[in-house]
Amino acid sequence: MAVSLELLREPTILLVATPLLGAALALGVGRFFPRISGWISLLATATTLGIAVAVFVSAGSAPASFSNPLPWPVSPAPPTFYADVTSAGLILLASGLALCIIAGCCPPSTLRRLGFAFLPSCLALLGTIIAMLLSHDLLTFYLSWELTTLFAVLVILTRFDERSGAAATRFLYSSVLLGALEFFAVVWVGQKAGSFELSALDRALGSAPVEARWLVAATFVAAALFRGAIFPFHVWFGKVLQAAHIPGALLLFVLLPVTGFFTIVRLVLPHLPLETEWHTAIAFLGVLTALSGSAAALRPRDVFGVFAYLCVAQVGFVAIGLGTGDALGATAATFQLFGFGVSLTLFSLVLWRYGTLFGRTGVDRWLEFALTKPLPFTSAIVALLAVAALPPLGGFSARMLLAESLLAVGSTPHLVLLGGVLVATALGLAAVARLALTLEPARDPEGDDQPRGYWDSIPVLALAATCLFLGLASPWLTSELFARFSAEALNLPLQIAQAPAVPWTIAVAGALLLVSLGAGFILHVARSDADQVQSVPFLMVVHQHARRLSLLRPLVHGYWRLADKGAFDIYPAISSILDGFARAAAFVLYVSAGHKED
Amino acid sequence: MLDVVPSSFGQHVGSQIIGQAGGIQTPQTDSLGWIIFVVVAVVCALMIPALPGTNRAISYSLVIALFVAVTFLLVSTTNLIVFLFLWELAAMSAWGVGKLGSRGSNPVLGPLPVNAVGGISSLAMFVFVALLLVHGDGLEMGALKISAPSLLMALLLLATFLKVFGLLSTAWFSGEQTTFPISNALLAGASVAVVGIYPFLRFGGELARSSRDAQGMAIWASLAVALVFALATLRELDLFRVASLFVFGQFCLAVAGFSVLSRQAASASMFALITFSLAAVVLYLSIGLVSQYSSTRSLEDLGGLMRQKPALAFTLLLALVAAAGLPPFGTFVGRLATGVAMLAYPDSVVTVIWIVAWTALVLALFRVLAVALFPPVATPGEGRVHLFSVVPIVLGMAVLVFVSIWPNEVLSLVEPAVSRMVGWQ
Repeated sequence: MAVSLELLREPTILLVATPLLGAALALGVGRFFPRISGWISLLATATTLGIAVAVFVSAGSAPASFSNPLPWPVSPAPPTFYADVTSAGLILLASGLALCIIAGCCPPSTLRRLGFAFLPSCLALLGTIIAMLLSHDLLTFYLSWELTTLFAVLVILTRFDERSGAAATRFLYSSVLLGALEFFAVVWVGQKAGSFELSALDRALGSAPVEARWLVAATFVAAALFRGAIFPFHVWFGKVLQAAHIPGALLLFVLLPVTGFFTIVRLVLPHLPLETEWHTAIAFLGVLTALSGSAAALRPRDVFGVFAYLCVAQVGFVAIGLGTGDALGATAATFQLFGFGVSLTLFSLVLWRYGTLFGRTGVDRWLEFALTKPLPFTSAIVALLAVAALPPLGGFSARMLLAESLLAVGSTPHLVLLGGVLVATALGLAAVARLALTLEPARDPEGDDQPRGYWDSIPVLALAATCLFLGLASPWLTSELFARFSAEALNLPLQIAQAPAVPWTIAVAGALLLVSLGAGFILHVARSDADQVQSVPFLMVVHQHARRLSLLRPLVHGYWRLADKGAFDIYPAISSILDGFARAAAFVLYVSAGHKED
Repeated sequence: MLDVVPSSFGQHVGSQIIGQAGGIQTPQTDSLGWIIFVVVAVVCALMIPALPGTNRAISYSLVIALFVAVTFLLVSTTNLIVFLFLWELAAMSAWGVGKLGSRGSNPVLGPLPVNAVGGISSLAMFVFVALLLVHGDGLEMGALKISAPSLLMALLLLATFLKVFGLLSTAWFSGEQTTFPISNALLAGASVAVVGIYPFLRFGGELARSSRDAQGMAIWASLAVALVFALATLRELDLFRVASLFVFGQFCLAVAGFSVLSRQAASASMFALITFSLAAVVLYLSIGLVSQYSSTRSLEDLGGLMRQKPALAFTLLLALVAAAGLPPFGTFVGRLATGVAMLAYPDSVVTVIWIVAWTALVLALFRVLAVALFPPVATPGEGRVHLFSVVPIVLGMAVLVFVSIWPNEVLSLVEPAVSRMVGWQ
């Protein structure tokens, strides 16, 4: 009894156990009483968020840890759960966004559509992700990593149709392959160090050959890139979003990049000392992700297609920040991670609730929308501005920090990266403008005609308020929260992380960003048909002069031609290679033994 | 306890068979023999609750009893001639188990020791024993004199690999829906340990220690075969064949682990072997339930289980997770310990092939998971599920979870057995 009471007093265990217990309860009850299942899920997520807040506050003063009593066969030290500002902050973000998404799913009519297994799967995914974020040794990290894969597959699958099955299979294969490689990397490191504790990694890897260290780092980085949907592993998210329930896909896309971010800042950067080329490579992959996502978002004819690629583009900016390798870049990455998590969740909830058709209705319809539904309209505008990185919202602040960081370093690769950031920003704004100016706000996308009360709008409003807060309080948040967060994550002195950039970089970065945003708007107008902009004289003038920019079209079309052929999808490549070897092995085994292969 | 009791018992049994009371020197291999016997006994005991649901319960009981008895005699004997005889008898009784679940004849790949693959295997084992007798001092297994270790290793590998493959090839054929999974589960869980692993451990360790070439041959041959089978599993569409290819792949990886000749690798491989034997039982029985419900064994015709039959889908999911070596099952500990040992091997090519083979096997299992559970099918299954099989599945999973909670205790049991067998005191 004493032991169990001790366990209950331990906040890190409660953090992991609460969503898992909620998932079990919701699953048991959900088959018969879907409404109660929804309430249980909401309660469990809210409790998790409450504990996460407590852990975050206490982690600011003294890290809380808990020793797991289960012994491992090859590890002299037991696995530990450990909460510091980095893990507690990420848990706070994950549980807060999960609460908003689950709250958005709780109306009975919505729950009926989602099925009884949906919310338990989401809760279980949240629980295993929290376990991963609290892990302070490689074994616990790996175990929770694999469990997140399984529950993520279930979240994708809960639509139970052919497309979701195909997307789940795709995700499963890729995850299992990367997970298996990660397993051997974890085991190799543990074997070299004689322990799975993170603190023993430096000792183990210090004496290891460079190639081995390179392989281990590549494995972890590849896993993190896949989780974060970063180029060239970014295609899975588009498939998942088109196949799974929208809230489920959103949950995956908000939570899984957090795990990728955690992997890089907790495992790769501090413990696998990498050469500068690695940082640059991560940053360039981030730029490619941002560019390809923004460019791809210009093409789809459906709302969620645009949304999917805008999401992918946002993660690219996080990777660029991490790849700069300095404190300001890491702070920008952290800000971007929090900012895009909140703004994309808000964006998707608004889209899910109020946007259905991707018509060609022009801006007039938005005025009608503003008059008839002021709160959703405001939320939608906030979401769009935040995703497009327009001031004064959090997206712009994070992008400013990123640009400042790149300018402050000032080397040729960093200036090239800055160019990529500016082009991606312009393309992103063009995509958002295209979405905003052609979106028809209408009834619920899945046919729910029931009137909604203000209760349903609470998650949307809370997220909109958070978005505004992130933008308006960005100087304070940067110095007091995100700088400290990145300093702890990267083992940097706090003073360095909080140090302001050179003043001229702020002015130049701001000017460049504003120019790129303007260029993005012009790009949108140039790509639009004349009848779409003829009602606004200013847009018509811009349209007439901006047609010359259509030279960019071949680039976008070329990208899509390649993308349609699967050039950027790692899955077909892996699948083809494996299939080739498997065919040869089956030939050896069956045909040479006198059997015809089936 | 394990080190003391079997010595006298083995001496006694050996004396009775040969008729040379007091003249037999029992080698220090009794812990190993007991562990093999316990694995077989546990697997056979697990199957008993499933038997009442079949129409051949009496026949099964008799054949299983024969198999267990022969196993006990095999692991107790110290005489080479008796060993050869009992090894063939164990294969014959295992073949009887397979025959009870199969239907029709199997003209090409049969487990029958005088038929095709099994015949070549028997011939190889006969030559192996004959060479040992020619070069040795007597009939005792404890005092081998090895003059051509590479040749002997080749013969031993040929004999054990082909015999195990022959037995597992029962899954290639059709069978009655209630008995077929039981037979295959018994073959995979018990006969692999008796017919394949036990002879290899009995003789292979000493052969590998006596010659680096013999050791290299064992490692490279087992890894190459494991790789071919693991990759072939990725192309297989029949559920039972996937399972049997997977089990054979695991057998080859275990042989490679033993051949590394490190104490850590050997004990880890033994641990993995025990847990994967139980996982194989659970896997075959779960696949049997799925094929009974869906009335098909082909992955092409499966799908939508998660929606149609959630309990069955969940059972299959757990079985595949257990077989793939994921937590919370003991197979994960086995996989972890084996991984640690293999990654310590100095030749990185061996390690890479081992990793690729294992990854392909895991991918093949998850392919089954993806195909069987996720996509919808036009016509849901309506077959009747043989519920008696659920009891062994639940018990097997419980044992696997139990093992994962106390892995150190299980490792401490298997380590002396393997160490003494191959001479690392």
